[in-house]
Amino acid sequence: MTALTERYVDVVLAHVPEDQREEIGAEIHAMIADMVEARQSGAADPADAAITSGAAEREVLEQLGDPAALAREYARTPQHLIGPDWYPVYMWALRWILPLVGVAALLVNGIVYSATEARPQLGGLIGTALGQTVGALLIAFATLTILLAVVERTSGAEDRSARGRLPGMRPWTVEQLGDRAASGSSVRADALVSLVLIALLAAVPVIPTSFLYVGHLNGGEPFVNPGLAAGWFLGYWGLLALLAATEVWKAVRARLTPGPAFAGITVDVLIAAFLTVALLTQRVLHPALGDEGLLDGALGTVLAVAAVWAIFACDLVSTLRALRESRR
Amino acid sequence: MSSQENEALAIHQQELRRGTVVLASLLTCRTPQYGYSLLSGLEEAGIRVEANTLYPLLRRLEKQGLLRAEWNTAEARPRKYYTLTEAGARVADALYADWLDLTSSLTALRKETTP
Repeated sequence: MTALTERYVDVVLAHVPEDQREEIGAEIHAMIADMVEARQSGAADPADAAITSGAAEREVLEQLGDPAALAREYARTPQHLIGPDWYPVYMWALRWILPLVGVAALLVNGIVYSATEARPQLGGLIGTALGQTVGALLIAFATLTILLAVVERTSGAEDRSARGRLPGMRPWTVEQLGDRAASGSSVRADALVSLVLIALLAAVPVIPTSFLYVGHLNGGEPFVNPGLAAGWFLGYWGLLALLAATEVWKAVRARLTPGPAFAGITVDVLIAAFLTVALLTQRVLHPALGDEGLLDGALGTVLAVAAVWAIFACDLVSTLRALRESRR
Repeated sequence: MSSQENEALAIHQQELRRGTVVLASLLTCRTPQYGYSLLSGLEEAGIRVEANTLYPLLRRLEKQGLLRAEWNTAEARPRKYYTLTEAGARVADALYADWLDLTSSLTALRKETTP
């Protein structure tokens, strides 16, 4: 064997399991020797055979091709991280787990920041919560990927009917066509975004002005008038809780049906009416803010009421449009 | 044929031949064969297979218990000889029966659909 063949065999063996190297090395040596000999014996003139010995060896090695590819033929291990059997499970897990991890990380880190920081501010909240959430999402993504890659390599190839299903997952039936066709992840994602917005709206009455860097206007008190009767606060939070319940209903159904859609519209109307009454009859903004000039002036009140109903109208149109789409 | 058709044909031919190489190797190994003798035998029989596919395939068939391998060191150069096992013979018979069934099915199908 020449140094060229030895180098070729070494590269192949570097890519095959260690316990098989000796055996596979002997096989490849024998294979190359036979192929070179066959080529040389095909030469008409014995002198040519000697001259073409090196060329024959090169031809044989090139015919065998990339040694890494030959090693893959021997090893026959999966060349993909997650193959077609487990890919749907992987995507399903990513679609479910990553949003949950993202929302949970945002909430937990937001709450921890607000509770531990002496003077919480928007920039700090966003920076802390987003930074920690990105880390949590990356860890969740990496964990799922590694887990499925391990399952891919350890699940038995003999039972292909069970591959691609986690324990407890039901086998596919045609009923699932209905589930998937109407569903979806978009309905759940919309509901999730709505829940986050509702949580933000619920926080509005207690957010201190220092949070948005204007604490000097009223000594770091909330934007909303703390002198409002408790009933206004409880009513506001109660209506938001109802709205949140309709969003949870949509997320659980995973499709937009008339029930949760009309319940959501009804609660929207109640909230818009509640805010209209509050704006027209109460001093909603903190008295130290705006100095009678912003929301407490007549024009400001009209603008605020108009904005409330404009938001309601947009929400109504988008809900009805989504409902029509889902019924197609 | 257009280059696109040729490309598609090459892919399907490869798929079609992949399984036949296993059956052809099992049938040929009813008499002991070493790698290169099997390669030449298949080529002479009109079954084209690359060496870099055949040698690893023989190893997998050996692992599956369909072929028995023995190194022959009596010759000038050591060679690994493969022989069909009893299990291999049963599998080869079953595959061959499948092949005949497929052939007759395809023939009948072609006859039925020929205008």
